[in-house]
Amino acid sequence: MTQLTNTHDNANDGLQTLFKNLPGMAYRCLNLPHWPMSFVSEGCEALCGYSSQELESQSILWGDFTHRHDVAEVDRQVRAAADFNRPFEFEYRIVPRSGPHKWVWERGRVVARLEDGTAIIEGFITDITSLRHAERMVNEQREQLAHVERLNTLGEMTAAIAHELNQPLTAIAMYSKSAKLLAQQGQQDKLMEVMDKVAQQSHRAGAVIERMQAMSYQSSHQQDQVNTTDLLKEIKDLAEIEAQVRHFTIDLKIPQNLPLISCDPIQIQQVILNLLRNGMQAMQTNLCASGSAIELRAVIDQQQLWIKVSDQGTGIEDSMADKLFLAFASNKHTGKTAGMGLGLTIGKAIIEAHGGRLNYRNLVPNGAEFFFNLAIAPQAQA
Amino acid sequence: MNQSVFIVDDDPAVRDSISLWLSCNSYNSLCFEDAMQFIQLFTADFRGCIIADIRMPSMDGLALQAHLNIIGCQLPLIFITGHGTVPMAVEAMRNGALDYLRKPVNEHQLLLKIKEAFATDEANNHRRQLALKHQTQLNSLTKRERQIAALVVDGLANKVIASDLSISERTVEVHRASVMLKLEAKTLPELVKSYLKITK
Repeated sequence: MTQLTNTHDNANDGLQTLFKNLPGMAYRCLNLPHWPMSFVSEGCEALCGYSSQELESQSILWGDFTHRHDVAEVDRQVRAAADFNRPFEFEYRIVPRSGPHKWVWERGRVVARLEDGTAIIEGFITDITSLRHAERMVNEQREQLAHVERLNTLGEMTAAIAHELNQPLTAIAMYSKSAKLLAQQGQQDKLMEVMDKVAQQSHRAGAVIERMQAMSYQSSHQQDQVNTTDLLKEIKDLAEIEAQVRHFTIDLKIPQNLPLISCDPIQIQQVILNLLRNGMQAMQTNLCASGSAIELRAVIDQQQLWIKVSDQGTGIEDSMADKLFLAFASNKHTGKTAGMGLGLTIGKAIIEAHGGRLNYRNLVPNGAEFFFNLAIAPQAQA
Repeated sequence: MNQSVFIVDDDPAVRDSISLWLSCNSYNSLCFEDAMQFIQLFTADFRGCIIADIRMPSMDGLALQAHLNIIGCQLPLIFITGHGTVPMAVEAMRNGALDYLRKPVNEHQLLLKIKEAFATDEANNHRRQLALKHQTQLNSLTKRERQIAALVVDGLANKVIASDLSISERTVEVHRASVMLKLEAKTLPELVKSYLKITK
């Protein structure tokens, strides 16, 4: 018996040492409001600034300093897990006794129940603030790079945009001069009609500017529920400016009732624009006839929205396959049209940040198809 | 056919506005949606000038110019373009364009260019009419008349011609008078001038 107690004590000592060295805090609590703790390991003071005695005596509860924006969601998830006896795992913020808020990662599960059914939960919480910061920096850098690349793309499209703007401007100039002459000649009836045409053309010019303006914005960091049909139509309109100059057409094929997708719409449009422009360049290199079409398709398959861009260009050489998505591995090294070679790299980063994959395949007899997927939220499906 | 401005531009608003502005300035105009449509409808009696965009779907302005040069259409060509490059402008001018204007176009400049184009077209037309007249005159000469006219222009006297061709001097005189009548020449120098012109 003595032997057994000793062993137990030794085991307890060992456990204490283990807890002490944990990069975080192990706990046992009741699934009651604000989670009163019956045991917390020593790491708690480093994590939240409160001692294990303070928490175990329940003079302060864990929920008291859980970030007020997160506490309801944490509560919801713990309850849901407890109801089904499932383990839970999530990230949220706490406000420690001193200093700024911290991001923590928590994992736990129900280990037993009181007679009244209240769940007893054991788990582990650790500080992931520095990881979060690093992630945020990576995200910010990717967003900045994406923004620069968008501006770069617009720069490359200047010629096409200038042409597209100069058409309505020419019409406005000519209509105005005509209006002046009609006024001098006293032809009031015709004058009204001409003024309406001037207004129409200025709206047309405005629409061109609107189309490119979205691309020039710094993205909002926000993932919105986006109407995919609108997103695709908008980017088709913008790419069409360039398609006209190259004498190609863009064939948009989308099923009806596309679902809402949670994404940063500007960044996703940027990826599609880049794929369309690459494709058209390849088609020009391949000396495709005027009026040839590049295809932009959306397909729904297994809770995923697939966006596919198929060109009739030169295809991707096997020698390029490995480095296609690497920075500065531009496939277009023809004088001034040579890109920075960042478009696909950034596109891949954007899609992966959205939880999807960007890939390609060569088509028979010619051309390439680039495609990526975005997850459809279960409730968002039409 | 009166002189007209033939507008070839794929943009309906640009066509419509230029056409209206021309009518306000008392110019006739005809609009074409693209280069192919113009080529299909073009006939040799088209008079005036062409205003064409460089950037157009399927067949662009430079291709239109090349085609017109091949079929011998002499209508002066004014290019207007939303965004042209220097090489494009060089090619257009080298192939005989009257000018290369940027959109939105300065109306005074365009009006001046149209006037210049119409004057060029007028001169071209005059030259064509003259050539046609010369051809008709040449065709109206009989084989014998042509033969005698050539010898007269070479400076041979009627007597020499008569002996060369083994005909009577009187016959030479009759042919010669007929040639002068047909070529509307009253004197020998006039005959020489006319003859050289039509046989050029």
